[in-house]
Amino acid sequence: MSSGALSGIVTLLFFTVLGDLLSDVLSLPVPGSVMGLILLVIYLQLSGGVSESLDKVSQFCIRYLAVLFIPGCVGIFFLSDLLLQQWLPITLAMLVATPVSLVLTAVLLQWLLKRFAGGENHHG
Amino acid sequence: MDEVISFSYGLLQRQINSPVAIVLINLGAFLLAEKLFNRMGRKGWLHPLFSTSLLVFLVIRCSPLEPDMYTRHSELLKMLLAPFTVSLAVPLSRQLHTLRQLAGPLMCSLLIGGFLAAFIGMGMALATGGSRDVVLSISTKAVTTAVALVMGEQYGAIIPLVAAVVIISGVYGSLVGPVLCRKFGVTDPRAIGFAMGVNAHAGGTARAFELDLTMGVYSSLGMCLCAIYMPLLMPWLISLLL
Repeated sequence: MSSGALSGIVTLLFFTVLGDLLSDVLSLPVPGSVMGLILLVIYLQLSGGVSESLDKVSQFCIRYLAVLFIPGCVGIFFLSDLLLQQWLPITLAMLVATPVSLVLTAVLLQWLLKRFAGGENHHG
Repeated sequence: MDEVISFSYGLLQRQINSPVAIVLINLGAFLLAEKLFNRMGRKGWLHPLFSTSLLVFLVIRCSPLEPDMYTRHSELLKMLLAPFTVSLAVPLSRQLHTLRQLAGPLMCSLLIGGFLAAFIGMGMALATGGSRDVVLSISTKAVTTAVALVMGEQYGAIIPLVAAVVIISGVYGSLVGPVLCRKFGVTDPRAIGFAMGVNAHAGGTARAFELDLTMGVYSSLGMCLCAIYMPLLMPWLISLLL
């Protein structure tokens, strides 16, 4: 990251803390990080653009987001008893439920998009 | 000779349990895993996170590194999760104009699709005898990992299981999703992309961008919207099912 990264980092940290604060004050069910995300989107929409520094920093964060999941994933190897007992519900939820709901969502959206486009043509 | 071995073992034991060494192990393992992933032609089943976790686990097993110390000093990475999640606002903000144009169909499929993703997963797990904490860990399967981990902590789920379910669902969904969609007559890349984002989040989005730019844009839109929607839906769905 170049010397210009600091302002992007500060922006991200500022909205993270602001999101945590808001989520805490209003005791929302939404995690602070998601509130921070929403607030930053609103800010970016109002201010009309992303600064070069924030753009660079966010690209870096998204590129290496997976690194932060390593400790969580390592823990799975210490859960072998649980996995032996509950392998069926876990496997079904991951490998059967995911494709089913994925296809249903895609079918629904394609149908809605066609109807939406059709409705627009009708008006036009 | 024995003294040398026991001395160096003690040295290793002291040094490998230090916070910096643990960060080095995490990042170094990920670097190796990514190199392997690229060399093998970026196959989905060889997701860098799987090989990284295996590698780190082997280090914990075969060296004096203690699991407790590993967990404690990995807090640093966990702390970074929130600001890294906030950075998703940048691509979302760029795609917001797409959302404005197609708000009706997209919001409708988000509301129903997100509900289905969690409901079908939790329902199947409950029907086959999943215990409460396992079903809770499955409840976040349609949310990108960073947010799922925070939600899982709020609900009292098993954190490593939350991470594994989200990531495996994502990788598997991104592998079979596009093929299955075409089989069921979905050809619109916008619909496939959005469904991939809702159900297979980061894995799905990466795959969608490889297949088609439009598909990728809609997938990342679906993923970001789901990260906002699911924390609102889930407390209600949990009280309904559990």
